[in-house]
Amino acid sequence: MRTLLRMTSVAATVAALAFTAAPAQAATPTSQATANARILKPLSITWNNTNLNFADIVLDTNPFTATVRVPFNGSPIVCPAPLTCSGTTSVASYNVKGTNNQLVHVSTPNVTMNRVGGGGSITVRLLAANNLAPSGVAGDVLLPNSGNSGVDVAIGGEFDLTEATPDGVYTGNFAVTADYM
Amino acid sequence: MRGLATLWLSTVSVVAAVAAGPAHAATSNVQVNAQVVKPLTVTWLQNLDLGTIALGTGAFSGAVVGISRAGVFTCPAALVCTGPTAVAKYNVTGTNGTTVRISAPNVTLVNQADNTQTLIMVVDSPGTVSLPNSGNKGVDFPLGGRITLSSTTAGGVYKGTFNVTVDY
Repeated sequence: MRTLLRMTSVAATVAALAFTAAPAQAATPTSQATANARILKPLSITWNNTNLNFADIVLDTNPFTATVRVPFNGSPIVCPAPLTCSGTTSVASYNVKGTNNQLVHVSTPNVTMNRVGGGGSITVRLLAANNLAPSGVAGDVLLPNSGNSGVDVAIGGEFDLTEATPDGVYTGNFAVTADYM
Repeated sequence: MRGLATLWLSTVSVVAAVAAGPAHAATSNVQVNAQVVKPLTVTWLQNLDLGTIALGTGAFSGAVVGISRAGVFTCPAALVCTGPTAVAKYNVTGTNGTTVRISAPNVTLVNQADNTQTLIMVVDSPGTVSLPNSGNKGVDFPLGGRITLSSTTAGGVYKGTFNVTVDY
């Protein structure tokens, strides 16, 4: 009986070992899912105390249509004949802060300049810079850093003149917004 | 499975041979059971996406953003969440009527621009799933996840990889 019990015990042990040593039924996929999140710092846009200024433009009395442009890249004013342009021009400048390496679009809708004292207005088409040159849409900028430094965005503009444009001083205000793309 | 079955039968044979030896043998009935199951497979179907999360201004902490395994997205007031979101999905196949345990540990999300910045995503798993069929069809199961953000969380794209296993 001792022998039988011993043998039985051995058999049971073997059986138990066979089950516990059997390959686990766990399975893993050949490809695992990924988890993704894009986290963005709050976006801010601040005026850099620099206005867009077309300076002085002298019209001609003969019939004409001409477009005056202040390029956003700091190039001299485009002032076609028969216009005469003088004075110091400047582009507007804003600073945009957000998350490094993220694309931001600076939206610059047209702005209306009204003649001081009334009697006329001029529509200015704003021309925002982009730092994705040579391609890229105006106003698209890639943030080169996170935090306080940000990136400056220059904004030029252009408008059309004719001999019928009332002379005078024209002024208007921007409505610029920035948003992550 | 074939190797395991052979070993079990030979073990039973050893017991039977010894019991038949002595003249004053006694008989004892032992029940033998076996559960034969199909091999489990698990296949990735879909990634989890928490979309784009813009941190609000001002100081805050403990803002939990996530998507449940049922697909319900949660975005607290301190955040602005945009873009499409999605749960992760896997398909598991095996034996009809069995319950499969799902192991899906938390996932570490790493900032792709600065790998020192990480977020722990707590996974929302069903834990188990019952197989309604045998064979190739199997059953899909979703996984959700949530992360906790503060105003000091570094911006950027965060990515991580699940480590899912399934077992009977």
